[in-house]
Amino acid sequence: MSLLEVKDLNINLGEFHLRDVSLTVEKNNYLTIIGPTGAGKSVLLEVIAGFYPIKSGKITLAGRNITALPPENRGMSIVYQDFMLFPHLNVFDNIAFGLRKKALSRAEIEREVRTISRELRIDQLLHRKPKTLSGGEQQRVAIARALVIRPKMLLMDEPFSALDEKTREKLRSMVKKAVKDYSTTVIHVTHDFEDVFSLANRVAVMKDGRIVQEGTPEEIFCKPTSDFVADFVGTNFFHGRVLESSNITTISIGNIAIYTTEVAEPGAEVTLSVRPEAIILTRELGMYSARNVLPARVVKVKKRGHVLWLTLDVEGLTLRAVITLNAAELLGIKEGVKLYIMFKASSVRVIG
Amino acid sequence: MIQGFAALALLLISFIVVPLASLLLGTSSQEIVKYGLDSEALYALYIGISASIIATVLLIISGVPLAYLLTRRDFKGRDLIKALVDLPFVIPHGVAGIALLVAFNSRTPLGFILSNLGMKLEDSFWGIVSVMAFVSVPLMVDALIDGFSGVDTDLEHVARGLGASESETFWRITLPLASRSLVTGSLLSWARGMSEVGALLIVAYYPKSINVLIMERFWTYGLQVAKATAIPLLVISLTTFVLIRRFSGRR
Repeated sequence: MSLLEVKDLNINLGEFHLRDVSLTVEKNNYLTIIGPTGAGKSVLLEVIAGFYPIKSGKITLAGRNITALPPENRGMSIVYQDFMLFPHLNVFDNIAFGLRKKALSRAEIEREVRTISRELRIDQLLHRKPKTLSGGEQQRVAIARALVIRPKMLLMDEPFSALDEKTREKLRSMVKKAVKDYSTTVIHVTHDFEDVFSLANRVAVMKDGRIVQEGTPEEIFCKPTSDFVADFVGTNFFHGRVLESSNITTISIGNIAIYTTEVAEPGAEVTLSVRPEAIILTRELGMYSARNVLPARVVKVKKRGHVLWLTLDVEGLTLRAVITLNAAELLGIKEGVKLYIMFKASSVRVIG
Repeated sequence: MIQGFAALALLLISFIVVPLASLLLGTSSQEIVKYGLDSEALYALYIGISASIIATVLLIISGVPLAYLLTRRDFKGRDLIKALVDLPFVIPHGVAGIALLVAFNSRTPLGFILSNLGMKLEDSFWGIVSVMAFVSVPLMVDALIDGFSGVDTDLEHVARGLGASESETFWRITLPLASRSLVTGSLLSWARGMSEVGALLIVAYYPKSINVLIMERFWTYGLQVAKATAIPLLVISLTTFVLIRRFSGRR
């Protein structure tokens, strides 16, 4: 039995709507929901949390029909992009807010708050008021507050979007560990694929209030079932075997070798990702700082707005690259043209 | 430009300060004791202050739920109700008094029931309370609407997710975060009630509240006596205003 089952959900909130959304989440899974702005990702999250009554559909949690249950009885805590700490309470009382509802002694509350605070490294901040904290600290408090009640599900709506890249990185690894330690099932709405790569084991892609594809990150990114998903995730994937990993990692894929700055276990099977915009094209070979230089043939050219999407054949591998119209003209890009592609070893991400 | 603005601003401030100051400074302490603190004036002060406090409390009890519903629930006629709430602002005070009298005098069904419960409208303490509450409704409700609108509903969502029911969320999150608006609304309602005369003259001349007494003394004895009678009320009002504003911590 799945932990969460959402069946044929429909809702119309004017600006946002959900149409026939069905979704299952297994216990201890980490599901990310991705999709363009206005696709209904946040609405779905808030409907699952119980903030909006639904027109039709059914939500089951651990076998129990919770469709009509008020939010406070669902055991799902939520984390928002803007932290949403209670400004009139200090950090300790923010984290303890949900615990006070449970039949816990003062000492137990204190212990639970201290445990999660150490885990998220905010134990020095417990007496502070929220407005004196940095964004990253505030969001760690919000996550602690949500996790400390050991929710049946943790719902997060773009939790890292208001933070800078370095803080995001740090929070991702903290969340990853905390979620594991508290064996929490997570639904995480994001527009940042890094969240997917570093946290998720399931991904749902939404468009216009519908879920268009759901699966493992690998399925979504490598086997998109529609042009929309392919365009939306838009990144290049390769499977290969790690040949060696010293100061640079070499991975063999079919007849070619690809270099990455990321560390990997020699002999391991890995999946690599290269963003289409990281690929540079040239007609003639020269001296380049990029480590990966490969011959390619243009298979397909598709104009989209002010850029061209190219489908390239690289020694039997299919790759997508995006270039500007000017660059395409300069290089004489059309279908059938042979040229070289290159990308830096640091643009190659090992994602699994 | 700034100099011009400052000059005009100064003009406006003196427009408030000069009359109040001349009232305070132009009255001898003997006069204040004789007319402002005689037994009739003290009783009228007591009536005015207690009635306005009770009116404010009644407005809190009924205004908080109304403002909460207006900000947290979407229903038909919400805008109409919001407009209705502001109506006492635009009705001349005398007309408000007449309306109350027509609707709730003891010959009307509701007025009959109320007067049998000891809450007669005409020339009674409860009449004063009703008048004060009526004219203060917009001040209280608008302040509370501002306050509740200023509390992000996502904060309430978070609290609900942490297991707090809607009412627990209201008491622990929404109301505390709107408390400044509640204080402001109460203060303004109280002050507005304390300053009402027009409607009182029509609905409840007796028991004589301080406003009515000042008016009556002005008509009967003239400016000098009315002025002395007004001073204690002025001092009490100003002090309360300053103290509450200070302690409610204007951020």
